[in-house]
Amino acid sequence: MTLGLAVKEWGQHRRALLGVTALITSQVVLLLSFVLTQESPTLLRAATAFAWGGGPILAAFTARRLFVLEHEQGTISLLRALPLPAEQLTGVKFALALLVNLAFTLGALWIVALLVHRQELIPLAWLLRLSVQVASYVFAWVAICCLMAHLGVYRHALWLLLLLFMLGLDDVVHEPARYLFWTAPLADNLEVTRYAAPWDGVALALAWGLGATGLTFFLSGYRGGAWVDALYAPMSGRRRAQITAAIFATLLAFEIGADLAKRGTQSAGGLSTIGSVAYAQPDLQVLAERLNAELPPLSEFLQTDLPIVTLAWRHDDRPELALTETLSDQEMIIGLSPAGPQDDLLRHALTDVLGAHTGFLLEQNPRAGVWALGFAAYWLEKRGTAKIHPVRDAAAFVARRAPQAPVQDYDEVRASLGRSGAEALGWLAWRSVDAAGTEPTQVLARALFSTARRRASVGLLASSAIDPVEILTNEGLSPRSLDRSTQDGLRELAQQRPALPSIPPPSFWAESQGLGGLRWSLPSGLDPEQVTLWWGTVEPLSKLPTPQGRIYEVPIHGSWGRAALNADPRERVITQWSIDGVNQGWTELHRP
Amino acid sequence: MANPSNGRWALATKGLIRRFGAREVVRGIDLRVPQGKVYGFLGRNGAGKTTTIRMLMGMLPPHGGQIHVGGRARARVTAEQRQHIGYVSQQQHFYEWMTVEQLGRFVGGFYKQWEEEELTYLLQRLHVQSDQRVGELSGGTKMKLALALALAHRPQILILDEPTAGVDPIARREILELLRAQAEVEGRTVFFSTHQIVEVEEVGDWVGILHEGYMLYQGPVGGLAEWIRRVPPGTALGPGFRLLLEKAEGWIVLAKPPDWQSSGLPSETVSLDEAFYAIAREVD
Repeated sequence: MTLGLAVKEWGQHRRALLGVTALITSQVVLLLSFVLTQESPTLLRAATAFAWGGGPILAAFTARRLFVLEHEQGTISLLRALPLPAEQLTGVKFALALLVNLAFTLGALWIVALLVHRQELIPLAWLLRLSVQVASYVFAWVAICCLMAHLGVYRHALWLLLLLFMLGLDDVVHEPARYLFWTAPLADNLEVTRYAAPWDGVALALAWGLGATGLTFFLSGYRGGAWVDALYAPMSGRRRAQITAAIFATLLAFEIGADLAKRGTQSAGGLSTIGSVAYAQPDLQVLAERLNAELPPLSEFLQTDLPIVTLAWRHDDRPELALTETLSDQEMIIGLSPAGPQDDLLRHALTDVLGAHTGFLLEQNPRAGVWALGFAAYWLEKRGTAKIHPVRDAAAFVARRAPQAPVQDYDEVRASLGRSGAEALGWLAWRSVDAAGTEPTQVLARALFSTARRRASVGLLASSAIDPVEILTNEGLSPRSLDRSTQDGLRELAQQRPALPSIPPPSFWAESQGLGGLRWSLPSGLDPEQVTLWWGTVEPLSKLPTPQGRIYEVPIHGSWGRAALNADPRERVITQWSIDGVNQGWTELHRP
Repeated sequence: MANPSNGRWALATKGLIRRFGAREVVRGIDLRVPQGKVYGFLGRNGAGKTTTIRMLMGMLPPHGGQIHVGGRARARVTAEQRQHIGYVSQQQHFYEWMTVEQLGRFVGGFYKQWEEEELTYLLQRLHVQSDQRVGELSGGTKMKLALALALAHRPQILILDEPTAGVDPIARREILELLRAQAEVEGRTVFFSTHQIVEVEEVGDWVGILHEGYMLYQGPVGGLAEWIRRVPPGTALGPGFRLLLEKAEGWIVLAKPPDWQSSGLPSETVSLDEAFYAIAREVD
């Protein structure tokens, strides 16, 4: 019976299957070539990208061919009249759908792995884990598509509602694709699975898949499949109208629900205002006050109206302390990371206020970028309203690494020293100008920041024309003496920061299943009061050990000790010692 | 009436009900199909014949009542019971891409007692070519193919839903002859629905008249003539006699056979066609 049915399916769908094979092959080849151009850390991304995007399409296609066509062509009545239990009919077709989908997606994965294994290291264990992830994802999709195929003429409306539900939930729930739906096994960055498979995601997909399979078999078997046959009866005009109305009502409910949810969030915090600075959460009040205290004198100094600012905490994994959205010419919102110290946040916010005011165009001018970045640190230090330790640390780093760094070439500075290095160099440059007098400082600052610019070609051209060295030369300052002054500052900083004792990076002590903590030992003679231990996480394949989100301090009470590490076993953890406020650099923690 | 589970009835139902939404299509019918006979299931379009047949095949679950096949009472006919039933539906939905031979092989794979030789014989007798694609067959030939497929596993009961609808007169004759032969030669029970009264008269032993979901009459084809007779217009009818239809040539009247015998009224036999028409009009 089973074999007969399988042979029939092969005969009926073999041509379509050959077409699909050709289509899938070309898709995978296209993805592979795309991934090659993207400099992806692993070419296996082509196969998982195919599973992610092509898997659902293939599952819907096979479910349609195997189940829907029988109803649409009426051949289901032939099958129903045969001595074949409805459950067995569904079982054979379901198994074939699963087999075909797994064969294509896992086949693509293994073939790509075979093709690229000479170019990159693909451990077998990782490949097997990936296969389980892909298989669970595909199983869930096949089960859901087969279930939908049993919902007759209502399936299109239900697909639409499901899609709307999934998209709508995005606004309400944190990463539903990762924590709620069957998409979980492939929702993680592929490279993360090098370290550990997302077993919770696999379990979630299996639960969805098993649930949908159970419902499919229930529907197909209940009363000999009569329910399903009834669901395939053509819809009357009245029923069609009811369904359309139901979809619109659901859409509307979602819209209103999402709006209410957003409104609820706002009213929980509310927007409070101090001067020209608004803030979304109460614990931003101090920062808002400090920023508001800076803006009027700065506005006066620059002879320009600065934008109205709204401050809000950001809860994402981005490493930036401040991220700015320009709402209009005169309004901006700054999303701040709760991980940042207040002084640093104030400096970043001030830099972004000036950036937003000038359309962030100065950073595109290599001659002005360093100056634009370093002004806020100079301003705050000059007024004595914030400490700028990180800028000083970065300048010390620049002094040792690149004492001849060119202030007038932002691109080069940023490439070799990073954004913080450029900021530090800019700060020193402003200090050098300031040493020559307030007048040239004000002239240069006004030239750079006093004209509000938009991100348009005219603004870009105008910003590109600004040459700080030329402006300063016109003010009677010699570029050479400025460079000398800046480099003197660097030298001075390097001398102020003698070589600090080196502390070995902390090691990992394992407890169970990747959990455990940090163990450290300080060199003799170093006072624990002088040191701070930080840890954070880094992006899976990042070559630079830079923390991607919040960083955490580990309390140090003695010259040796250990502390629990509250990090996901799948994540890459980095640690950093800081002695007397001077960071020693991040090191990756090796965990088994 | 005898217990439907006893050996006299090959197929029987008790209080069979089926609704579509609020509309009751089959209203508690008690079907009795005698063993080895040809049963003509007569009714107008929309009377509920196809719905009843789909319930008999287990393709549609009843909302009430029981179905007795081979002496076993069930709420629904099972796949196992279908091993012993041959079925020809009103419209043939075959896999058009298959050849007749491939379709035979596919269908045969589901039956324990499938006989390839029997299929070959039936196809030859009904003039259906094995190597032809199903999609190329005419409606009448598809019906003959369905009949051959329904008989090739030598079923005990053959159920057909309007097997002669849309077929030409020659094919119709071949099909009816084959049905008659199934009962007479093979001893099979044949249950077929139709709205052609003449077909029931031609090949039927028993007739069941279904009207708007109600079973109006069930019994031997000739038996209806003992209940419904024509009397001269204006005849004085006593109690127990029910006038079904007034016609110029005579009144069609319904009464129990003993009442006819004892009344001494001058009456004559009516055709099944006339009797069916009179019953249907009266009910309407």
